[in-house]
Amino acid sequence: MNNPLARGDKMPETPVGPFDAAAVAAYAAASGDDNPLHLDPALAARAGFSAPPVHGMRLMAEIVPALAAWRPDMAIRRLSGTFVEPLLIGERAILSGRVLRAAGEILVRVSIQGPRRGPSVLAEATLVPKEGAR
Amino acid sequence: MRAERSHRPEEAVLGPFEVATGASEILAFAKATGAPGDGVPATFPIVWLSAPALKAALREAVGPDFLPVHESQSFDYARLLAPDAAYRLAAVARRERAPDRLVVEASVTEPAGAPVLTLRAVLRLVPLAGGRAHE
Repeated sequence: MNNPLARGDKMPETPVGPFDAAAVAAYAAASGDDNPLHLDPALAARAGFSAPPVHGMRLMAEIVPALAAWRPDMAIRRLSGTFVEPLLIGERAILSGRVLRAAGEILVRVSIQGPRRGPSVLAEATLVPKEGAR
Repeated sequence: MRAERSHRPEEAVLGPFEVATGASEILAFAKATGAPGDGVPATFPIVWLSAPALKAALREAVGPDFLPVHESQSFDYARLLAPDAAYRLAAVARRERAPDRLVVEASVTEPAGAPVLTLRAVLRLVPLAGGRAHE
């Protein structure tokens, strides 16, 4: 049985990436998001990137298995994220998270921090016990 | 061709569309994202915003002079999605100026109408060469 979560509890840090072009193409195929900015190095270069940026939603999707591994007793009720800085193909990031509120529903702030000053994804997840999410 | 403001509605109602949590689509999505093998991944509904009918409507709302870049996304569940189930998705796409954005708000319901989740996507519209930004 998992311990109750408390404000300030931290998720284990999880490495994210690096993604190669094949991984980005696989996500594009699975999601249907074929925005050429993520797939075409020449277009990415015209947009000022040294390599195509990984889909923000591909990065946000990393939060789901990270939360499930940390708290398999909880389900995601709400997940929201802002894509602040790009993470380019070949770059690495670290996913981390901290409980902001533990009364009632659990609110966790999650960050995916790449090599730039700002995070690639800044997200909030609201968790509920699995049986309460149905 | 340049997209003129008066040529595009500020708000467009899209759908309803039939969407589903097909086993093969979920498996492909889970494989591409590393999602756990049980249930429907929480971010799976993003697939529905790229379904051909909705994507075409969104492309029309964006216009030819802009490249959409995903700025933020939310999923708000009233209940979990069931695998191999059919749902209905209705969306509203709202064009914003200064900065140029397209905000898509979608509601997913069971066929009988019970609410399941809402999605909100904010797309920053980056002007392509020759396009007109509203900064």
